[in-house]
Amino acid sequence: MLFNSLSFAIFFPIVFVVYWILGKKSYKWQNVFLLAASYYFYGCWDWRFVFLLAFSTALDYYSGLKIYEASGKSLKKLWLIISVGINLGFLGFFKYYNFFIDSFAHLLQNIGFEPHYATLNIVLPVGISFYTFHGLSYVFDIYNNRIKPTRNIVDYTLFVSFFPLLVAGPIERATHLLPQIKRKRVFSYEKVTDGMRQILWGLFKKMVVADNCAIYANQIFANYETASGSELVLGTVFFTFQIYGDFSGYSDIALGTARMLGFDLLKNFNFPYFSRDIAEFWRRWHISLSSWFKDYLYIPLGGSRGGNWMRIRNTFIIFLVSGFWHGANWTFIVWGGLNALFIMPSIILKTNRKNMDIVAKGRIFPNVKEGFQIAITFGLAAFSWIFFRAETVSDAFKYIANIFSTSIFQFPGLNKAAMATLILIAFMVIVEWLGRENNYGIEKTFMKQPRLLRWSFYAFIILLIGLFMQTHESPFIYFQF
Amino acid sequence: MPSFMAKNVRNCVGCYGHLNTRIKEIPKYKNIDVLILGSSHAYRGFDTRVFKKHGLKAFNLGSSSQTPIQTNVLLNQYLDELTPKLVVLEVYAGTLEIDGVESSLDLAANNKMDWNYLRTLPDLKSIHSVNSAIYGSFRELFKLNDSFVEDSIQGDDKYVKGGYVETKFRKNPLKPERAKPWKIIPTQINYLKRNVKLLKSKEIPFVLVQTPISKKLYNSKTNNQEIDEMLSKLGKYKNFQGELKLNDTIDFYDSNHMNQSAVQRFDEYYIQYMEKEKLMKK
Repeated sequence: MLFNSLSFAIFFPIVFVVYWILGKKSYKWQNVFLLAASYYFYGCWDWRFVFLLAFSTALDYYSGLKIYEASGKSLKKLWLIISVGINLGFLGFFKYYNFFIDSFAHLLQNIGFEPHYATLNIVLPVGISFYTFHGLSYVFDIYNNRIKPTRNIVDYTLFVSFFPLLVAGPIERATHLLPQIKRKRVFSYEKVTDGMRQILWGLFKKMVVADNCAIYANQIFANYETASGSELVLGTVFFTFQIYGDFSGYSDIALGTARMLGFDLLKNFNFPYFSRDIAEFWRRWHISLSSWFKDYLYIPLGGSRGGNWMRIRNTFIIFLVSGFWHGANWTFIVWGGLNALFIMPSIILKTNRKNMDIVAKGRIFPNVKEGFQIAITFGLAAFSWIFFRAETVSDAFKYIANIFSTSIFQFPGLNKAAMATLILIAFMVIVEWLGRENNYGIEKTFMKQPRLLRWSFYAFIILLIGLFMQTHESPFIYFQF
Repeated sequence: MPSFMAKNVRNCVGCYGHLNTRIKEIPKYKNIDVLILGSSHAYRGFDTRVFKKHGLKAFNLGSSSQTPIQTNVLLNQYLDELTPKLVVLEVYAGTLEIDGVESSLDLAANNKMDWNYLRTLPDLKSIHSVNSAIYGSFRELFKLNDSFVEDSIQGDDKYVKGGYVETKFRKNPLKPERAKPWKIIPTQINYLKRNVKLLKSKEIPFVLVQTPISKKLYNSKTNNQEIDEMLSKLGKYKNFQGELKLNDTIDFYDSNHMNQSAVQRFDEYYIQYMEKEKLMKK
């Protein structure tokens, strides 16, 4: 069940109404209901993997208790290793088995062996990367004495499987979400309307910007050998906004949905394309994943202590692992490595915490220096996305090589629909720029203006969604356009 | 509205299929003998002039890519006005494979908007149809289409009074056809059953008809027999494929539409069948 589907549009209002009716009885009833709704939501994707989710949840719940109750450090560590090992084992099998087999076979072929191997037809369980990390954060936090385990299996299961964040994040922490699950949620009209506003903006970014950019990005990436340099640049731009619209849009819908149910989730995107350097970009992009790797990998590895070489090593490790987390392909690893290279100068020079404030705060326009910094950072991020999007590493290199041909100065062939998509991107960028000091783009847009203007703006966004969302009908036979 | 500005709104008044003219002609036809509904196989396959030659008053309410969903709309809207003695429901498996959105847009632009149409929107599940219905209602409310007069000749097509569209002779280019089954959408069958039920409730005789298509296309489909069995369970059904000697190249201008001479021969044959089977209400 996708957030931008008719099924969800029916599912969520029912859940919302029943949830708040149950809230009059007790928040415990709400938790049970939300748990059932979350498992139903997950089961709609593929009912077979409900059991895997349940097993992973039970494992971490039990391991958490055992870690807490263990008398000695070695026993605590043992239970931690069991939980981490089994969870990562499942993740590794479902997500990376074929990748490892293929890569190993290619390596053997390159050194003259002819291995006989079989890849398996493995279906990737939806959201496994996300709920695995939810569970791991719980056991790590118990091991590090940041949190006590919960003895309420319903509460814990809900923490892992809470449907707004189950399939695409944000990756929540037990320290942040569990306390909210364990206490009464009070219905708030302001929170509900704020949640609806964030959902609306998320739907716009996903259905209008991302899905329309995808059409052109896919065409250009599929035909990069014959496209001109300028078209390849355009393809990169389209993909840059496709991935932002898709991912941040989904996060907005998740956060908005949770807020309507009385929960505050971790912010996952903080206007990353307005960053002035790569370090700032990574503080603003997929925040929940970056902070997860910082807390559970970077810091245990030694973090920034121990000199430059330690910092360089640890930075490379987390970016390579982060790349690998995204998918079982060398392109993601190269993407991670590239970002590590981009951030390295600021790590070495210790300038990675330079731009901590909001760019051009209190001003409408950035100054020339800020504009230049934003453009460079955007360019670096967009460049690295080429590897993220390409099918193979060599395709990515060929794509880049073709950009720098003489045809880079040729005006790209843009039809009217592509121009319209660029205008929509510009609209999104302007709205988000004006709203960059808030939690999400339209949080406070026209809040100080008359209600009619504000509602007209929301109606305009709904109209844009209705006019530009993708549809999947049978091909038309007679239509002329 | 330029298409690139509104990719999910289609409003094409008088663009194709002549539905606009057909709808405007309906008030001139009452107590007809034969009412024909269906896709382009209907409005390009049943020449009302042939029926007239045999003393039969026929009206052809076919339209482009019309599926049982849109047939249901048109039956509810015009059956009582036309009061036919027989309804011919043209059923082409290729139409039963599609979702009906294209035809819904045709109706939104060229037909009246009422509850019969609006209640099909949930089954179409298309934002195109919803947006176009809103826009079509707006145009109807402000009578923006009232002065529109559709050209009777559009390209190779000529509209003939009574709803038939005659096309210029062309040879069938005989494109390759991949062997695969018809994949019928359950929603279309459900609506076909509703149409049959509606006609039965009004005690109007009906017949489900498959008009001939090219042998090349027909033989490429692997489940024709199953389709025949399914349709014959719904009521009086006749598949005219193979009943007439038709040449794929000369008698068809594409894989599934007949040239004029073939249409005339087919209609003569159909009328004989209709009279032999005594299909019409007395």
